[in-house]
Amino acid sequence: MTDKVSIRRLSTGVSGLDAVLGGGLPEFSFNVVAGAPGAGKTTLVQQIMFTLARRDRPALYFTVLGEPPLKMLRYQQQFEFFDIAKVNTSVRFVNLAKEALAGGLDEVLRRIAQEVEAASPAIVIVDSFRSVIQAAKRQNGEADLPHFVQRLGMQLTGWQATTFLVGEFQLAETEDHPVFTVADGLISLYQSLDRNSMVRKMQVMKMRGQAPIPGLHTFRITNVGIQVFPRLIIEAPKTPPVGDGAKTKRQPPRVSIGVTGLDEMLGGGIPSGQSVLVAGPSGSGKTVLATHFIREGVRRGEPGVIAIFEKRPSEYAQASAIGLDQAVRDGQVGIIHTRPLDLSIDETQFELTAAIERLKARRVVIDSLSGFELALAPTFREDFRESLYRLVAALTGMGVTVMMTAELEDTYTHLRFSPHGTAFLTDAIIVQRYLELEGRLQRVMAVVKVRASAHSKDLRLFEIGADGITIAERVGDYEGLLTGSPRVVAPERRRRRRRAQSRRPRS
Amino acid sequence: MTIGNSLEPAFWRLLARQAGTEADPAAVAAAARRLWEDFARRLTPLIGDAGVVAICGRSLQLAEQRFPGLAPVPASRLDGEPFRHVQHFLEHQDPVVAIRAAVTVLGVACEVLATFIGEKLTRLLLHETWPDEFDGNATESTT
Repeated sequence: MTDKVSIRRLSTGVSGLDAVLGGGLPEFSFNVVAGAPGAGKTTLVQQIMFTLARRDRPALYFTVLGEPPLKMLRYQQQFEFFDIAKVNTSVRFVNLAKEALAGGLDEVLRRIAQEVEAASPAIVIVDSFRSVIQAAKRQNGEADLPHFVQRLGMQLTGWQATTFLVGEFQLAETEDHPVFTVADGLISLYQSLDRNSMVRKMQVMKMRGQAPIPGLHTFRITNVGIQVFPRLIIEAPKTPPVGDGAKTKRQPPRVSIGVTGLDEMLGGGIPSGQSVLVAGPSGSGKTVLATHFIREGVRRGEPGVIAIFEKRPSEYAQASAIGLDQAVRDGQVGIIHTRPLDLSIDETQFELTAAIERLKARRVVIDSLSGFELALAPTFREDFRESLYRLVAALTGMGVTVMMTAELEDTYTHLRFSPHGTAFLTDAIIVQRYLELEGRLQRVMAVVKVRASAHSKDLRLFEIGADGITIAERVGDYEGLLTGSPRVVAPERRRRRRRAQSRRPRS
Repeated sequence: MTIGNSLEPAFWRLLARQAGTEADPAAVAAAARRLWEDFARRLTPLIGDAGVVAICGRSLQLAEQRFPGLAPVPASRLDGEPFRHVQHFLEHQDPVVAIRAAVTVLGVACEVLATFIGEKLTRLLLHETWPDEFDGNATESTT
C-alpha cells in the first residue's frame, strides 16, 4: 500500500486563522494555546469549540483552577459565537477543580478519561492546563509531569479528539517544558505595547504536518470574537521561461486616469497593475485626481475601491466636485473607512482585499498615506516603508492598479516627492505644486517618473472646476519655478530652447 | 417580574409533588434539599463546587431579608453543603412558612445565577433538571 495518510483539516471559524495555520486545524492534533492573562486564549479556543461542536461531534471543556467558570460563562456569553443552545448538548463544561486540588495528576487524568470515554468528543479543551501543572507540582513535585503529559497526549489522540491545552505559559518555557515537546501545535498570543497603544499578536510556533504562515500576525477581539489578519507574505515573481525575452519586455496596457492631457503626460496612462503616487501640498487637488481615476474606471466598467483615513465615507463621496455618490450606491465603488486607530497594515490589506474580491475591483485608491500612517499603531509606524512595500506588492500582485496620495509640504529648497521616503516603492509619480506667477497662486502638475516608460517632463498648469481637473498649457518662458523664485527666460535663451524642443521628439 | 418570581409557581408544584400537600416542615425541608441537590448536580460541572456554594451563600443572604435566621453563618464560612443550613431552618418553621421560604430560596438562587450566566442559560439548566416544569426555550443552530 503506497497511499499516504491524509490529514483532515478543520475550519476553525476564526476569520484568518485557517490561513495562518497553513490550511486549517489538523484533526486529532494535540495543541497548546499559550499567552499571558488577557491575551485572548479562552476566547480563541471557545470560538473554535462553538464552531466545531455538533451533537454527533461534541466538545468537552474542562475548567480547572484558572478563571472561575461562573465568570468565564458570564463574559464569554458576550461573544456572538457563544451559542447557549449548544451548552450541555454539543458543548459540555466539566469543572476539575476538586480533582486538581485533591487528587493531583492521576485524579485529573482519571476524570478526563471518564468524561471523554462517556462523551466520545471530537474537541477537548483543558483551561487552564497551567493550573493542573501547578496543582501537580504542589503534590508530587515535577517528577510525574512528563509522564502525565505523555499519557494525556496519547489518550486524547487515541480517543480521536482534537485537543487544546490552554495556559499562561511564557515563551521562555517552550524550550524545556514537556508539554511543548508532546504538542503537535503551539499557538502563542501576545499583547504588544508601544507607548499608549496595544496591539494583539499571534504566532503559530509549530503545527506538525503542515506549514503555517511564519511570523507574528495581528488580531482583534470584537463582539464577533477573534479576527486574525495574516501577515502579508510576498510571493517571489514567477521566473519567465528561458528564451521568452520577447514576452517579458512586453509593456503592460495603460489605464486612463480620465483627465484629458494627463494620460499623454504619463506616456499613455498608468501602466495597468502598477502603482502611482500623487504627491502635493494640502488642497492641491490630490483627492480630486484620485476621484477622476476611480470615476474613469467606473465609466469603463472597472469597479474601484477607495481606502480613506481622514473623512467619513459619505463626506468623501460628496466632497469632491465630481462626486462618487451614485457609483457608491450602485456598488461600483467601495469606500473602506478604517475607523479604529492602532491599525496594522495587515488589517488594512485584509479589508482592501475583501473589498477588491467582492467588487471585482480593478482600481484602488489609498487616500492618503499620511492618514494611513497616523491610523497605524505606533509599533507599525516604525516599519511603515517596509509594510507599505508589502501592501503595494500584494495589491498590484492581484492585478489592480493602485493610486496613493501623499501630503507634501511645499518647500522651495529641495525636491521631495514623498514625506515617507516611499517614492521608490511606486512605479509612477505625479507631483502637484503651488506656484506664484504674475501675482497669482497657481497649481502645476508634473510627471516625475513612469517606470520603464517615456513620459512628459513638462510642468503643466491646471485648474479645478465643477468638472474636476483641467490641464492647461506648459508653464513657458520661466525658469527656477520650483525654487520659489521664478525668472523670465531671456529672449535669446528662449529662442534656443524652442529650437531644441522642436528638434526633440515629443514625449 | 424577575426571573426568580416567575419561577416560584413551578417550585411550588415541585415541592408539593415531592413533599405532599399536607406535609410537615421536616418533609418540606427534605424535599427542598432534594430539589436543590438535583439542581446543584446540573450546576456543578458547569460552575464547579465553589461556584455552587457561592450562589447558594448569596441566595441565603438575600432571602434572609424576608426570612430572618435563614443564613445563620456568613456566606464566606459556608461549607460544601450550604443547603444543610436551609434544611435545618425549614424544619423549625410553620409548614406554610417553610414552603414559602423554600420556594423563595430556590427562586432567589436562580435569580443570582442568572445575573452571572444569563436568564437563557439558567432556564436551560432548569429545563434539563426538571423538563416537565421548565421550558428550555433555546434551539441549537444547525449551521
